[in-house]
Amino acid sequence: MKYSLILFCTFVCVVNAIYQRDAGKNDWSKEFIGDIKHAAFGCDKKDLLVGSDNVIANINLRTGKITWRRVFESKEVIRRFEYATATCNLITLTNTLRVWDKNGLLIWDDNNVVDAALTEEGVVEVKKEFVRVRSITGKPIYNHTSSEEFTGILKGSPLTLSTKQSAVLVTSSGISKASSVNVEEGHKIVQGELVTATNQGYYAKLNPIDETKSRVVVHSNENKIEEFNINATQATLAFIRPYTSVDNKQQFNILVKHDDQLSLYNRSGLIWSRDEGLSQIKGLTFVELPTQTQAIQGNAIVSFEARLEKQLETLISLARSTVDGLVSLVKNGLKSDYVHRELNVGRDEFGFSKIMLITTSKSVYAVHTNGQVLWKKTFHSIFKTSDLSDVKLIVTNSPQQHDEKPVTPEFVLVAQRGNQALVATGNGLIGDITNLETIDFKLKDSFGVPVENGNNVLVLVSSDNQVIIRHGTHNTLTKQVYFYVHDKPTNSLQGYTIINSTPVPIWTVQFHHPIQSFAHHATKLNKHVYTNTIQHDETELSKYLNPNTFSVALEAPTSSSSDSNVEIYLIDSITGTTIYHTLYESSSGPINMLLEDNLLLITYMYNKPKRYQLSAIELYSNQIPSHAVNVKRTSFILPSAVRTISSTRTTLGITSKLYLLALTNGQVLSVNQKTIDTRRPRGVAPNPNQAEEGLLMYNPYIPLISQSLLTYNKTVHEVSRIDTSPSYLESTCHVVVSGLDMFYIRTAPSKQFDLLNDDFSFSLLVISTVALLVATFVVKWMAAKRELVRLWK
Amino acid sequence: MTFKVLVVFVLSVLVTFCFSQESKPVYNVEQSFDGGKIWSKRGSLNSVGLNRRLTYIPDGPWQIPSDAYTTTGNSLYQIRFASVEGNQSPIMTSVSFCDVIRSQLHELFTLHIDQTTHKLTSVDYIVTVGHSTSPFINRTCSVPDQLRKGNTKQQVRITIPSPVQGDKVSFVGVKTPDQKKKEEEQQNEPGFFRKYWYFIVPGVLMLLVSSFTAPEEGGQAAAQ
Repeated sequence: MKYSLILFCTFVCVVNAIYQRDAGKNDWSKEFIGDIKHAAFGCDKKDLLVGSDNVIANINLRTGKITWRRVFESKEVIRRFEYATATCNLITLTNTLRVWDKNGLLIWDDNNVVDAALTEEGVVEVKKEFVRVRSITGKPIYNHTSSEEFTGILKGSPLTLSTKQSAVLVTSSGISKASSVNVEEGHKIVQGELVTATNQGYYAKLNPIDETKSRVVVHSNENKIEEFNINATQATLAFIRPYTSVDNKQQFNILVKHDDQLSLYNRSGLIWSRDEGLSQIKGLTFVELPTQTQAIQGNAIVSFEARLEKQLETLISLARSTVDGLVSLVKNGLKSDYVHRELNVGRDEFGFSKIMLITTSKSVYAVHTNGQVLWKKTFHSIFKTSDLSDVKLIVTNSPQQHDEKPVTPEFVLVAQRGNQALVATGNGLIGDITNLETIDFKLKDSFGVPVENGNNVLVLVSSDNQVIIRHGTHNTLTKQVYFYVHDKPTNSLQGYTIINSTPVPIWTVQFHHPIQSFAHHATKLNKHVYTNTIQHDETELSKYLNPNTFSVALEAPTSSSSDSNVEIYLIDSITGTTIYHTLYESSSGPINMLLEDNLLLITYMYNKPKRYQLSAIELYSNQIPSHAVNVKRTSFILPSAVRTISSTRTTLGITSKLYLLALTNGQVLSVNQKTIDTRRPRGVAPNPNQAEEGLLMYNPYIPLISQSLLTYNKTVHEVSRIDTSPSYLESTCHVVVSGLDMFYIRTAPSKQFDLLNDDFSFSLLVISTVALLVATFVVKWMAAKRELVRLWK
Repeated sequence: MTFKVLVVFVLSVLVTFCFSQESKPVYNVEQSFDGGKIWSKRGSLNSVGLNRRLTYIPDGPWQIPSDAYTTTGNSLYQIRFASVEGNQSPIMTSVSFCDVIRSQLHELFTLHIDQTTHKLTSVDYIVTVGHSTSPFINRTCSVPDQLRKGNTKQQVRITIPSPVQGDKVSFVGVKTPDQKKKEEEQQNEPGFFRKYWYFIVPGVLMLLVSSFTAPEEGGQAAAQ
């Protein structure tokens, strides 16, 4: 009973949900399909079926919105995507053949299918040992076995299959050798032109005119019948669909995929466009918006006048909003007295408005925290080439909370093209590229070194050990610069320092198993981290706070090849010293790590009972000065596998921390700091002193409580990263979850203790205050009058 | 015959002893005073004994090259461990040269060795000067003559720590549903008296009744 009560308290303490009325108010989500590789116009005039590697979806042809979407497991890749206009059915083949109806409902499926196709007879299903033809509903029509192993379908009509040694013709009566086969080509780029064709005799060619436009020429049986321009270049996929309009004219829809966008055009222009680039986010950085005021420089009279002017403006806006509130109160009554904040792009007083600079595989975006895409630039348009290695974005100039004047955020994009490094500088607010530099050296690494005011100096290191500095000079770097490079072919880490503008190697760590995961501290340690933990017995534990540590996880096979161990190294990036090295036996990946202050969190799979576990390691400084650290550890059982892990961050570090675990079911579970505290007593209930400190009795399970899911009823498929950023309010943190989809939420781990509710009625407050004032004067007058009457009696 | 057996026994013991004391170099220990441009051999890590214990064997007294360093600061002292077999890249580490001088060559090598391949992963190089050693701090120091002449004895300690075993999940104090059910049943189980009161109460009543009636019969018999 006692343990149940404690367990109940554990669950109660960690519940952190939002109200139903708050859903959608401080969060937004975007759904994507991914890199579209397949498309087909549906038999219904408003259907467009598209598919990426493991996603199929139906897009409304009029609006461009997703009607339905099905997401397969990430390891599945769609090899066949065929649509039967006669029956309005779609078949998709990964390792599993699936047949869908027009509403996205699965009719039937089958595993271990080598190849499949839609033919006039039905659905052809080829397995290694036999070929089977089924109707759309799944009813077998006929099947044949063969002594030779089937490897694929060469043609649908007549049905021709390839075996390991030859090609065979398959009919309902049997299998026979095929004499010669003409294999059709699909949509391909032929002689530099993108060509798309239909089976009604129409085909269209897309020819780029300039950097932004292409010319579409539609032919019918070699006769040119239509041509028009579209705003798309670098198209890689195109489909044409002729249709007859209401006024009996022949029209054409051209569906074009260019860069990350899928666009639908007709003769009159663009109908809609979907941007799928945000489904493949590589990097995300939060940037403040510039302040909208400027501190007045001048003598006391000038600044006094400016202050009066500003206060007068504030008074006028307050009066205006009070009147608006009163009007809405009269119109709508007390219940719906609700002031919506205007959507604007400027900085607000609470730091809720920020810009996220996002890099994908082909573009860079600026997305406001309200979900609006402010601008987008493709790497092709910036660097004038598509032949680029991984592009890295570094923010070199960032506004701060207490800036005295507006500061424009600046960023730098660094890429490698052959033996040249390309450095593009851009304006973070509008996306304009202000400078593009080409440097003749082969880039080994590039990074930003933080200097004063939160800015970064760009350091570029070449493979022949040269260093180039941009957005600063060597003199700007007042401290010694250390960095390390991961050499993937040799699986080693090499640490460097810069001496006289030359990188000098200072340490090496050579791993003998592939590195599975890295974890670093956030760019800056929260300066308000409280360094000591005072225990219940009044002893102090001094946290080991070293912002230069990073963590490496390896999966090492054991002598029995079927099993493996997980090894974790915690290394100092300046000296290369191994601070801590631990081994989890009989464990394997996926391994995720988070390094925050003095805490290292690791998720992995424990092979023997086949369960996912979370281990927490807290580091404390030893009393005796040495490199050794005092370590406290604990482990828990997770409800499911984890894709990535992050934590909330606040300005002052007072608010409780939430650790965010992205589960494989598309949800994000928030776990309280107290749940994973390494000092939780095991096997016994906490004594009164421990309970006073807030320690809970150890429980090996981390519960999956629906109220602790940050994504509440939304799903974010294939989460690859969670990024967080503090707002100006201590209670609130921005959280962005991205993967195939994108989800943003403003979360308050300890509830919003420093902010009034949105439905707080300011007008009612004003009315009450005014009414009290009036009542005070009236009562005072009445009291004076009565006193006078009394005196006269 | 006995003598032959004895000779064979002694020879085998001698061979085992010699074999066990055989020292085989596994890693060459090299040093550099100029930021890694020139490396010179300083000693070797040898595998000794049947349990392959690693021991540092210096190649001679520790000497500073005459052109390497005088009395200026800002210098690194770098050590690297290169595999004799050449089957892995050298493992390198650095400290401030001034710290090496101040420690008078009291050095500690902590070797991290991979459990599966038994190859060196990293080396932590600490010189005992009583404070943490960053590899590059702007310091100045002068080299004593004793060190220049190579008259200082190297005192090298080697430690090879094993990785700490990861913490395991504990179920102490956590009850399974069956255990909880059993505990609840035990708590809810009534006491002996409550369970069997319908036997005990009539039995006691009967005893009482019989004890009251038994003396009366005796009294009546006595009266008679």
